[in-house]
Amino acid sequence: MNHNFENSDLATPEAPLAAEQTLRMVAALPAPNGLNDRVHRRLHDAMDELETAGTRRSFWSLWRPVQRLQFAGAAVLCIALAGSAWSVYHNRSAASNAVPVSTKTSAPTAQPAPASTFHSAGAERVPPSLAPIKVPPASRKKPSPSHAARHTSKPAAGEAQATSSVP
Amino acid sequence: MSNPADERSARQPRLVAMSSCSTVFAGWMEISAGSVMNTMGQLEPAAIDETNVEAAIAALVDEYAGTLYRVAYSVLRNTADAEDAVQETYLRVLRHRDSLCEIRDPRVWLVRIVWNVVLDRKRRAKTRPETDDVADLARLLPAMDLSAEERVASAQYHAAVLRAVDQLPAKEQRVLILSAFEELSSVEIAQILGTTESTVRSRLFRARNLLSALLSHSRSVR
Repeated sequence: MNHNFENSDLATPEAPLAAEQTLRMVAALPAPNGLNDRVHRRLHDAMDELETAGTRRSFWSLWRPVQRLQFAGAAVLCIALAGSAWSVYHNRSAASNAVPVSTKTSAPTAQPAPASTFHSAGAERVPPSLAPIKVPPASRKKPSPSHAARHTSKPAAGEAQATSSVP
Repeated sequence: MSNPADERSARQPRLVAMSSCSTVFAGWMEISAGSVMNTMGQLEPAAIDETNVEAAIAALVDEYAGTLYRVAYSVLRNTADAEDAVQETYLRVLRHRDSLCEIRDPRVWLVRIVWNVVLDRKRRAKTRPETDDVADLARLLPAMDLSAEERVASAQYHAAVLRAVDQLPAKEQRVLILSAFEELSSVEIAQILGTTESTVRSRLFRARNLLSALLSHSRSVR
């Protein structure tokens, strides 16, 4: 394995192979004494840690179903809260929609027109081309009972005349 | 010419996928590691079941900790860091113990894990030098049957080579480092690096050329 180092020429074609010999020597250096024991001890400690962690995990694993139930309960509560909030909002919006409809129907009668707008105040425009119809004013006197009877019997007398004129 | 690494990998037992891999750890090493080892002293993946996964991991430690350490050390070049990397590798194995019975080749799987651990560490400690002095590592390399002067020359030579390797591009450097492990074939190196065998071969070729150029340059500078 040893090499004639005094006369070794690093530039010769065999130089890389000789150099690899050095690497082989490094690779063949023995492991320190007691390495296996130290590794075993380290693994033993790691095993103890794993065991304690395992027991801790097994204890907490009992808590897991309860935790799941808690999560499920919390989820149900959230859903209920959201549903109730939505229903409250929905009812309020429905009510707010219903009130304007009722006011709208009564608006022309109950609510006066705003002051800023013009309105006819009940007046009706009559075109000048039409001759106004003059209606005689109604008598202020209360008709007497005889007069009323005459008015009612007049058509009957007319009928009698008509029948008498017929041959 | 057959590659000894290929022969070794062919002999390597394959982990058989099992239907269920849930494991219950009763205690570390309570079950003898022999229950998951075959007659050749290698890990028998088919024997891994729910009860002896810990024994299987213990067997993996006994079998491959040295290899993993050497892989880690060849990149990190620091004893403590390499040992930490090995420990982290086995901790990752412990964390993913459920998939242990699905592993076909535990050696390549472990080397791949330690390789990723090492690269992570190297990336995190980018500002810190890999080693205080390459010459220190060069002095660690065996130099038996050499005189004092030859040892010094040997150390200088190794240091020059290691510096040249450090200057290689990352991809070529990785392939070259892994190719130095005799137990790893080019197919296995490709599996570890997540590339194809042809890519590994071309990178190795390029790495050798670059290394030659770098070494000749350092020679001319001297």
